[in-house]
Amino acid sequence: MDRDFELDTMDTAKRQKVLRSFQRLCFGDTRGQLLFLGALLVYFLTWRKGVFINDTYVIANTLVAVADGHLFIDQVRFGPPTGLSPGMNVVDGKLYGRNYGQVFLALPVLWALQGLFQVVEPAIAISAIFSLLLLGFAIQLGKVLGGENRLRVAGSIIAVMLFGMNILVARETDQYFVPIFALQLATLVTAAFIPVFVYRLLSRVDDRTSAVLAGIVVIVATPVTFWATIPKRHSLTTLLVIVSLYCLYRSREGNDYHRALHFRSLAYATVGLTAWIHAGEGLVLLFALTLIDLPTAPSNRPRDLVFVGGVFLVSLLPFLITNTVISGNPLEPPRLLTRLEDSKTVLGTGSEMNHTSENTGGKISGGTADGSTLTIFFLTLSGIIDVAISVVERTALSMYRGVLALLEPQRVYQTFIRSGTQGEYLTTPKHAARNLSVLESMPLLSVLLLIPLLSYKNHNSTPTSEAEGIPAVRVVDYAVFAYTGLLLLVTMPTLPIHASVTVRYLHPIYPLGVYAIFRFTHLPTLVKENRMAFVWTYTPGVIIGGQLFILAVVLMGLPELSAIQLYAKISLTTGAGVVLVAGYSLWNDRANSTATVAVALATAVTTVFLLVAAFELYQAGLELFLPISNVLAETLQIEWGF
Amino acid sequence: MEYARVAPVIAVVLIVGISFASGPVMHLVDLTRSQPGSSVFCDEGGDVAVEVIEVASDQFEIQQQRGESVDYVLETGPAVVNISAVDRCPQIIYHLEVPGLGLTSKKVYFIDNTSELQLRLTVLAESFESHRIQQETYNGTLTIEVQGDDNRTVYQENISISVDG
Repeated sequence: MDRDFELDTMDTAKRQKVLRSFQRLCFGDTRGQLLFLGALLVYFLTWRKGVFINDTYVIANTLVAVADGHLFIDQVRFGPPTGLSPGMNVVDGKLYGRNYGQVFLALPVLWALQGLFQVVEPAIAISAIFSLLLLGFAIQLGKVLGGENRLRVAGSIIAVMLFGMNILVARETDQYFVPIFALQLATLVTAAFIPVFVYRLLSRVDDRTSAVLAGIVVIVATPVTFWATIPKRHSLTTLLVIVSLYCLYRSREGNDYHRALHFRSLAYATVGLTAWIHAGEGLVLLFALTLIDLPTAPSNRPRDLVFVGGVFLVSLLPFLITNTVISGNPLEPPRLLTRLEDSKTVLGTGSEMNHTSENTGGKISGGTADGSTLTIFFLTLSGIIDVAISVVERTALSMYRGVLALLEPQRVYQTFIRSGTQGEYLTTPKHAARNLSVLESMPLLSVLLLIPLLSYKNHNSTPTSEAEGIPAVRVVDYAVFAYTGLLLLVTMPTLPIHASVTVRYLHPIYPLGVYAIFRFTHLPTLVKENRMAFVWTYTPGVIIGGQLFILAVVLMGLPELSAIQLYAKISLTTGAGVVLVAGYSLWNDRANSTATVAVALATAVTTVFLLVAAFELYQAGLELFLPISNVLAETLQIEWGF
Repeated sequence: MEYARVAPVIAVVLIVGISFASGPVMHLVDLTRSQPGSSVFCDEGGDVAVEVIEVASDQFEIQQQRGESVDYVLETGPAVVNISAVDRCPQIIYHLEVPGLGLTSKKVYFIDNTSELQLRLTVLAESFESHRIQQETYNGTLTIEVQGDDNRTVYQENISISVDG
């Protein structure tokens, strides 16, 4: 009996140890886990099921193909039956999608959902997961704030009550769309790690309260939440950038040589994974990383570089293999292939597509069958060299065009400050833009304009307790700067662009902006010192402000697009307010609480946008997955004017 | 405190238990309302009376864009219709055809007896590269059709789409 008890205790201790290691690996600590659960809860509440933007069709069809065991698309389950939707490529008469890294990430999620939905109705399953997440959140919150017992009981009651409410209004879900749900869920979980890694990075630089605050800001005051449930690449590539920066920091921290080398190589491993999703973004990350890492590394001995390079090459393998299977050229990513729209004559009708897809051999296997392996080798090599030269040319050209684009005031103005067609958008809705600029999407970013003033006042301090050389945090600062600069150069020539909503091509700059706000401005100090002012402005700001916005839209009889532009104006106004008041508070301490109020308002404005976007604007006729959210959206439905 | 340890366990057992009990395998209780609007659950066909209230045909316009990956965007206008006498699950199709651009854009609305009585129909905005835009105006046909037991056109208008910029 005693022996059994001992074994049980040992098992429990071992299990707890494993759980703790898992928690540390994924989230850093309990606070990181809390941010993860909190983000998931917010994303579940605003999860619109279905296709929000039409280039998701290709990704969903690719997932169906990959789940079927091949990379080419032989059945167009989603979108136009001809397969003619953005991002569809043709190689040798076969259809291929893109973002294969994203698709492979969603594959296990698809299997899990298919299995789960065999035994539980989708709407009930989502309601159950939501309630269990809420319960987990309450338990973890108890561990951080204290009062664990009370929160365990309260969390249990609320979780069961919400589950009950959800099942009361749950509707059947068409399982035809499960591949799209899988893509959404994979994106959503990825996006929930963005605030976690912002927290983990900042908690090593700053105090933990500031770092938690930064994580919360990422969830409630950036467009990260908007794109969290839309299965595009942006959440994934953004997370990989933040993880890369985190690893870069860890590679400069402490004196453990092996640990530092492992983290340095992990920073490069994220590049390979990014390239698998979007080769261009992978290249930008690689340039930024090498530009900062090589000159600042404590050691660049050949064996260090060989190790880092080796890990980097291994991380590139999925990307290289996928490209080779599709085009025969490991360096030719899907985005460089012939688009379906350019090759209508090649492909013809859907029946022809089915015919060609019966050939299962790819380019390479076809060649090998001829027997002239050497010829194939040289052809492939010349293809690789061609693509490598083309990539270098494209990058150089793109950066040159980027510099020119950054010198165009109107382009910069419309991308960063005011996006809508100016002047008449409230009276002639057909001209009103459906997009927001960077500042309209995240007014809090305006405080970054204060950095020159702050550096003049020399407010920020640099930790000095690092190993030899440049402090770890400085290395990350430089990397953030380099990455943002390169991303701007590469993307500016295409901006502003339609169907971008929050300038999504620049998505990583939002969490990086939060990092910069917490590193270089006095905002976190302001909020920590005036906590109550923040809470008592933010909460009514969201609750009352959100209702006032909807009321204004209804009373003015605005069309949907004009409502978006009305929001944009409000957002810009708070952005301007926050930079003025926070700037003034630098010279006058008595303005601190006013500045906190302005910060809270700018935060609340984005939260209102995130909620209104899910429940009112940008709904694209989609239902929300969580039954109670859907009922709320239906209750709040606005009859848009013309 | 013991109840603090037990409460989450009870909550988990309840939530997971009810989820599985109501699922397709055990199916002890049916907790989800079916959606007759979906083609999977509704017997397709039937009919609906459609009254066209307003068609914003003047809002169709091809606008030049500043971005370089897309040169022109076709801005589209909505139509508002009132529906009544819904029988089973017919479909209303809002359809734009511009032969000069080789463009056919349509959106299908699945109707059932839970549908709103006033619908706002839209078609997707399309984008074009500059080499496809060769004329200053394009002629198009805007159609609203009902598809059910029989197919019929309830509205048709020839529109002129101007190219702006």
